[in-house]
Order: sequence, then structure tokens, then C-alpha cells
Amino acid sequence: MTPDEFQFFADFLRKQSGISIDIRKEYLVEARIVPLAREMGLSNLSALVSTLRAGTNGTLGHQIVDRMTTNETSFFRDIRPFETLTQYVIPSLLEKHATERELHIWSAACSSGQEPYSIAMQLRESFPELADWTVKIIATDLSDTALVRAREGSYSQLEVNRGLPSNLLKKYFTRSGVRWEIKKTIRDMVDFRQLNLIVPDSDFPSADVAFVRNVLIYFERDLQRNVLARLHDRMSIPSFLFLGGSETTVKIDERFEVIDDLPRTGCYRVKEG
Amino acid sequence: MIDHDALVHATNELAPLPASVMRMLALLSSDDWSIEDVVTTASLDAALTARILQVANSAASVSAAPVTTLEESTMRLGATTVVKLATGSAIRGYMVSPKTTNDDPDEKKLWRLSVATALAADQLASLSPVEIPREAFTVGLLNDIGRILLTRHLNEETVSLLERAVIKGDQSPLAAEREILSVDHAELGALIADHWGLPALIADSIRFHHTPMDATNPIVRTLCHVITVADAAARAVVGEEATMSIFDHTDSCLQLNLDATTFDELCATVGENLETALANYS
Repeated sequence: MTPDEFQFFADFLRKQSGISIDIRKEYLVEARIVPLAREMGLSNLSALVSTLRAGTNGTLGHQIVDRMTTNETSFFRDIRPFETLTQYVIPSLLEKHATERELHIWSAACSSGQEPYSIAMQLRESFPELADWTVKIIATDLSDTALVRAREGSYSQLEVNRGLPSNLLKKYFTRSGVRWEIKKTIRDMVDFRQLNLIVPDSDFPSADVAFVRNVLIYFERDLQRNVLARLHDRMSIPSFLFLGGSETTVKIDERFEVIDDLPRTGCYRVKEG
Repeated sequence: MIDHDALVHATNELAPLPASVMRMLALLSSDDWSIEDVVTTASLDAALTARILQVANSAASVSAAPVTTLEESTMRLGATTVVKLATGSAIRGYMVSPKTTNDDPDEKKLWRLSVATALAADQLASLSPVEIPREAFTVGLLNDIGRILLTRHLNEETVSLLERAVIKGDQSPLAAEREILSVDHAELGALIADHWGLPALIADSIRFHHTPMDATNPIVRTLCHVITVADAAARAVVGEEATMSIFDHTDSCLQLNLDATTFDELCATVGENLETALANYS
């Protein structure tokens, strides 16, 4: 791949997904896109970029974004946000929503589904009183492939070993060969949808709790501001936002605030007023 | 890039650890055992018995008359040394495949590094004021066992991508594995430990040996800090990374209350004992 070809590829990816990559990530492009080029009968990445430049293959663009945006995830990733969800966020929402008995949770960029399923299991385990509430967990991702995997809810031994307590594995999964399948009771709690965060008119779900973790980190500042603003529009008071450990709303959208009692949890609250 | 189910399948296909080793590791983890327990366990394994006698009578061990029984040999070497001998000999069989014993520099190098790490981890018990769990030697020996399985499933192209991720992408080797393969050698090592039925303490210490702060169990965290420092010492001894220094592992050194002088002492001791240990486990 020449520098010019890489730049074309990086620009294409940014326009399609908001993700910025620089030349140091050329190895990642090679790792994820060379197999796609081979599947298409193309000799190398240069040939693939030429096809992309010709602009005649919309499916190719979709497949590239699909492969480049699939990222590592795990059950109960970083654990503290889930502890915060259980100990602070849900209890305060239970009180506020006691009348309408509805709760809306959004897991954005859910990849292969570990985050929304973790939320679902956590709610089942810790809040049996929600059994007669309307609890909507909407999980979205840009990648169709990731969503297919998420809906299947079938995980390798390596994936269930990442962060999933053994009692929850036994309780909510069924073994199938060398894989583990999530039980219908949990799978049915999650509504998976395709959603591209950077498309201006994409329909953000309303959320009392939004998990948008390790997403903004890939976006440039203006795009972060845009996503947070649109997210804010879909959140009422009280609502809570979880970001990744290296992400923040500070100096980007001051309508969110860090909760003093919950430092280093990645939990933000929509400010009143 | 790599088939995760194939890795799981390959793990499940690994032969179990010898019963004698499993029994000895269980003894070592418990508070209630005697040297007779170790002798009884070793006596059920003919190859191990022969190895114990051989080592007890080797030049490094001979101080008086030759010993001829397992009991005498175990008394001379000490029960914990016998357990390490049993473990080291068994693990070598998994880490250095017979067909490559003489000519695969990578597997031999990794085995050498693992033994050095185990020795350093063990030695830290006497150098650190912090209480070091008894499993340190075993975790040191096994910390990179996942790397063996992973490497055997990688082609040259993927190895090259991993190297570029480290050199050009400025990723740690672990982060490079996660980014390119969506799996890393530490979690694969833990999977192997689980497959063998090793205690969770050992499996989790392997899983988090590059990320001690991710471990919730404080004993596991201590073991991970031990492995971090032991690995640094081992690399310095085997000359793997000239730039490795105690300053790259400040947090783990602080956790174990070690200073630069102690680290140098650790390296010196490992250097003195490495060749003997390698010979004993071969």
C-alpha cells in the first residue's frame, strides 16, 4: 500500500464510520482487509483500493467498514461500570420511574453483544423487582456481522472466560460443543439494531442509561461533540452515561457531569437545568 | 486471522499433566503435608523417581555418600525442590516439542526464559518483605505456556503483522495479540491451566500476569507482580532484552518493596542457578 493509497483508505473509513486511523495502523488494515481482498479474488490491498476508488462496489465499502470496526469486547468489561449500575444508577432510577415502571437502556457499539448481555444478566441477578417492569435494552452497532453474532449469542470458551463469573455462565448459558450459547431468557431481553452513530439523521434510542464506552476515543473532537449532543437530546433527567476509561465529556459537552461520589467509574449524569 | 475454536480444541487435546505432578501441586498449595506425602506421590511415577535419584546424586547435590532410595533423595533435595523438579520436568514436555528439541530456537528460548522466570519468582520469596505465595515457581514456569500454543497456530505473515504492531504501532506484545488476533497468550495460558485442572489461583495469575491490576484477588495480584519482576530479571539473565530494567516495572517493584540493588541480586542468583535447573528438568 503506498502512502497515497493508505490516505485514500483512511479518508474513506473516516467518512463511513467516523473512525480515524493514521499510517502507524497500516498493519491493522493489512491484518483485517487483506483476507477480504483475497476473498474477492484481488491480489493485494492496492487492487482493493483501486476497486474502492472506482466507486462501483457499495458492498465492498460496507464490508471494509464491517471488518475495521469490529473490536475487542468482553463480558462485564472493566467491572466498575457494572458495579456502579447496580449500586447507584438503577436504584436511583427505580425510585424516579416507580410510577410508569419503564426503563430504557442503550448499549452503543455493542459489537458481538457481551455488553448488553452483561447488563441483562446484571439486572436479572440484582433487581428481581424489575420482572414486572418494561425494561428495554437496545443494543446497536455499525457492523452487520457483529450484530449477527450478537443475536446468535454463541461464544467461544475464550470469550466466556473474559470477565464472566462462573455462576453466571452456568446459570445463563448452555454448552454446545466447544461453544456456549446464551439462554433465550437473556437473549430476549436485548433488542439488537444496526445504527451508524455518525449519520446525522440516525435514530438514537431514548435512554435512561447509555453505555457508549470506548467509542468516542476513535472519533475526532467535533464528531465526539456531535454524538454527545444528539445523545443528550435523547436523555431526560435523571439519566446516566457510561464512557470508557480514557473518554470524557469534560470540555466537550458540559451538559453532562461527573458524579462526585463515583470517581473513575466512567459514569456521567445529565445535568439539571 | 486465527480460529479461536481451533485454539480451544487444541487446548482440549493437550494430554493431562501427570497425576504425580497434580498431586504434588495440590500438596504444595495446602498447609497440611509432610515429606512422606511427597515421597509416596513420587514413588507412583517411575520416571520421576529416576529423575529425583539422578539429581540427588548429581555433582551439584553430592555432599557425601551417594543416595540410593527415593526417601534419602527427597530428604537430600528437600520436598519443595522435588515438587519443582516434578513440575519442571513435566512442563518441559509441553513447551518443547520433541521434534524441535534440537533445532527450534524459539521454543528452546522460551523454555529457557520460563525456567529463569520460575527461579526468579521463587527467589523473590527470600528477597521481598512481602509474603510471596507458594505458587510463584509454578506460575513462573507456566506464565507463557499460552504463547507456545498460540505460536504453533500462527503463520509467518501473522507473526510479521504482530511484530509490526509492536514496532510501528507502538503496541505492547499483549495489546498487539489482542488487536490482531482478538486473543492473547495470557488468556490462552489460563485456558490451558483450567484444562489441566490447576487451581484457580494459578490459572488467574497466568491470565493477569501482564495486567496485575485487573486481578481482583489480592493473592493473584501479588503473584502477577512477582511474575512481572521475575520476567524482567529472567530476560536480563538470558539476554533477551538489553533495555529491560527495574524502572520498566516500577509499580510491581514498589508492590514487592524491591529496589535496584535487590533486583541485581535477583538477577545474579538466577544466573548462577539457571543452567543447573535446565539440566535437571531436561
